[in-house]
Amino acid sequence: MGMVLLRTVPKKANKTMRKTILAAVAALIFGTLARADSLNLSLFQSSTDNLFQTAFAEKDQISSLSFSFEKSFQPFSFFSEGSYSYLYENTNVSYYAQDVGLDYVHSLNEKTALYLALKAVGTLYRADFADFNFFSVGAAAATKTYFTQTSIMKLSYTFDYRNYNNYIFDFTGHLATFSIDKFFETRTTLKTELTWGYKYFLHPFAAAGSLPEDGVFRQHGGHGMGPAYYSGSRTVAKQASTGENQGQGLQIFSLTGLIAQGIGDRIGLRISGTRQWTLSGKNPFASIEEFYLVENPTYDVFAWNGTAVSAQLTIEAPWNTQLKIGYTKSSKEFPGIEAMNMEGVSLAVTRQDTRNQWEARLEKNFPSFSFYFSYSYVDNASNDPLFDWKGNFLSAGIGWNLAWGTLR
Amino acid sequence: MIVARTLLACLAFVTGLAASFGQQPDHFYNIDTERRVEGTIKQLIFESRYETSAPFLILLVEENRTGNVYKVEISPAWFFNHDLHKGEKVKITGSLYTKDDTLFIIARQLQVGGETFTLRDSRGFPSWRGGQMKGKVRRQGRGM
Repeated sequence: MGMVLLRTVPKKANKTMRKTILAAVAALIFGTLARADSLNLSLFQSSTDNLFQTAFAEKDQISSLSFSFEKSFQPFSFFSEGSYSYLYENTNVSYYAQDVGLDYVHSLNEKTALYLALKAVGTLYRADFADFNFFSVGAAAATKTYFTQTSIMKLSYTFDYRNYNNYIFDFTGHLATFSIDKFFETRTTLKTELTWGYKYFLHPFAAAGSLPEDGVFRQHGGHGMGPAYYSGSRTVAKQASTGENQGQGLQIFSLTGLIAQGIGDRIGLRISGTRQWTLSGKNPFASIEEFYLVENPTYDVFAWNGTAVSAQLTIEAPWNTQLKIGYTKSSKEFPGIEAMNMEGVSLAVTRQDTRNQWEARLEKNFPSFSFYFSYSYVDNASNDPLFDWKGNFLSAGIGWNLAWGTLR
Repeated sequence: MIVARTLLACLAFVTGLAASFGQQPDHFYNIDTERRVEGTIKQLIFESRYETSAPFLILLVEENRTGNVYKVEISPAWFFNHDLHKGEKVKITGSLYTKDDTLFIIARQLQVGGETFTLRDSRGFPSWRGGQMKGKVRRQGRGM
């Protein structure tokens, strides 16, 4: 990642494919926008004191403008959303994202419905983050069945294929979930959910001959990737053991339990716990990172195993205002990732993080727009000192739902 | 890349197919008949209310104050992400109409379990809320 990888890893020659895709997406969007059923504009202003979520905290502010619209071609629905985010300090992380897709809902009978969707997503970063530019296609299928009037069973599957500017991040992902719940007269809901996932990095290893003598790419500080005064270095891609086109899969399974309780007419409380296991494989990269508001393919739900517990209080306040207060504690281990000291030397132990996170979100609905305000505080303890960090994240936004098309 | 091309072709095909469906439903949201109902869910049904339309989730809601039973239409796709059950207490704001002596409400706002869900804006236009594939381009970077 960063400038080093940008220079040393060859990019794919797929410009023709990208131009075709961009043209197709543009035609779909503008052709449909003229007849959209709904059009939504939103503006968010976010601020954080730790953009890159490391021990070397770096402040930044982000302005995001997004539009979304939907057009129903019954029984299909076309949807699209585009957003541009500008970072004031790290301007080279600014990006534009666009998704476009179709979904379809069909009732199999009075108790069962089927949902199908196709979706394409593209994201473009400015120069220093161009390695993360990607095009993605995905599909989803889900069924929802009322076992009884107080018990719901859901089964869903999603597929995702992503093609990155830097080929080491290319992957396919599969995620399947099964859940069943039961509502009781005491206004208590019990729910359990099973999730299976498989992510396959198609070619995450560095090409032979492109590595330094010690066999690793190194990510250095600066270049918008992290704090310029960060003195250490991080390994990003490893040398393949059996060949440069060797892939690497990660298979996970998780079990989640949830209890939700209605308290009076205006308060809802939910408590959930998740245990996740890595069934096979490990992260192919030597170090993984997460960034605030910037998606990193190396750090997602597939990257860890461990536990997470959370509690959320929802309060329906006066004047059509809604307040959510939440707390999450997680303990994660990242298979395949070794903790390192600040000089980038391996500590010979698997990286483990323990995180405490508090969140509050306020939403106020006006006749034709909504106002949002959210704050979260994260305290992440890690045996890798670079990822031993704290951060405050503040966001405020406004969304307009514009009258468009005809009422239905 | 073969996978990408195949899925893109499917997307284009389905979009073209979708364009052939252009019929408007024979009902619409009328803000002049809007009212608010507080009651309890008595039954839930998936039902295609109108020809060629996607199924609605129909709630049979008994109003606490009057005992009247309303058939409440919850928009397509939305209900896949939100689970409602018989016995839950709800507050519904929506457009009322009567057909064959049955009271119907096209829901605009739903309050249940301390949460408020806005399905349409105050003028009745559908809000940007939908199925599970929509709006997932969020840049969270939190791994969960």
